[in-house]
Amino acid sequence: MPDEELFPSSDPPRRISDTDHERQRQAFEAQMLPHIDALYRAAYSMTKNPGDADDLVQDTYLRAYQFFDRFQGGTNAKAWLFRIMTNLYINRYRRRQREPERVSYEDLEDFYLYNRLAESEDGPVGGESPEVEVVRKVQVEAIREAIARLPEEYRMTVILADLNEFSYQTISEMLDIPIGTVRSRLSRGRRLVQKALWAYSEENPR
Amino acid sequence: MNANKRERVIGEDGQERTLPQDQIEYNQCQDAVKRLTEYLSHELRPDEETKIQRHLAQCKGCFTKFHFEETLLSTIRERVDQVRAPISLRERILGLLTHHDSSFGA
Repeated sequence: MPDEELFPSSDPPRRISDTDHERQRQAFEAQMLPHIDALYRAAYSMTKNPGDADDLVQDTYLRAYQFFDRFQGGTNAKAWLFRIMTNLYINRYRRRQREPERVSYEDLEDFYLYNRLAESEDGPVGGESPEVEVVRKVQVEAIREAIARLPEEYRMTVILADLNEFSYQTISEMLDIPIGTVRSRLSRGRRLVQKALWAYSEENPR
Repeated sequence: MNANKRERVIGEDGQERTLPQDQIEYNQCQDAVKRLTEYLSHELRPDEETKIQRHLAQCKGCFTKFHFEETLLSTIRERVDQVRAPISLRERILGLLTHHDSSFGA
C-alpha cells in the first residue's frame, strides 16, 4: 500500500512550539502505547525472532509518530498501527528474508486436530470432552512453533484474524488482497496450525 | 423434531420424492461445516449465524466439533496474549520519541 493511502492528508508541516510538541507527544503516547504488547506479539510472530520484533515495533512507532498529525482521531488506533507495521514488514523484512517457502498443497481435512485427538484418546478426563481437555493444556511454545511454521501468507492472515481479531475487510485492506482470499487463507492457515500443533505434541510427548 | 418427518424434494428426473431424515441432516452438517471459518471469525450475516446456531443446538456431532474449534481458538488467543513487550523496548521507544522532538523541533 502506498504511503498516500496510509497518510491521506498532505498539509505542509507547520512550525510548532515546544509545548505543542510536548502535548502532541503525550497524546501520541496515550493513544498509541497501549497497543505495544499486541504489536510486539504480532511482530514476533511475523519475524520469528525477538531482535527483529523489537526493531519492527520501534520503527512502527517512529513512523506512526512522524505521521501522527494525519491520524484521524476517534478511529481505530490499533488498526492504524497494524497497517503501518504490516507495510513495514512486507516492504522490508520479507524482502530481506527471501526464503523459499515450502507450501504443501495436500488436502487437509476439516477438524484435523479434533480427529487426530479423537483417534488417539485415552478416555475421558473430566467433565469436558477429552479433546477439549487436551486443547486447554496447549502451551504457548507449541502455538508459537505452529505459527512460525506457517508459510508467510497464511501466517500473516492467522496473526491478523485469529490473534488480533481484525475483520476480513480490514485485513483485506492491510494485505491488499480480496476478502475471499482472506477467508481461504485463514481456512487453510487454521488447518495448518492444527497440523503443526499435532506434530508438536507428537514430537514433544509429556 | 419429529424423527419420522420426511422432506419433499424434486429429483433430477422431475419426480417428487422424499428424503430420509438422516440425509437432510447430512446436508445441514455439510452446510454448517462449509461456514465454519466465517462462523469462528463472527463474519457471517446474522441470519446465517442464527441458522448455524440452530443446527448446532440440534446436532450433537457438529456441536462437539464446533465447540472444539472455538475452544482451540480462544485458548490460542489467551496463551499468546500473555506475551508482553519487553520493558526495555517500551523505554527505548519513549526515548526515541523525545529525541525525535528535540532534533526536529522548533
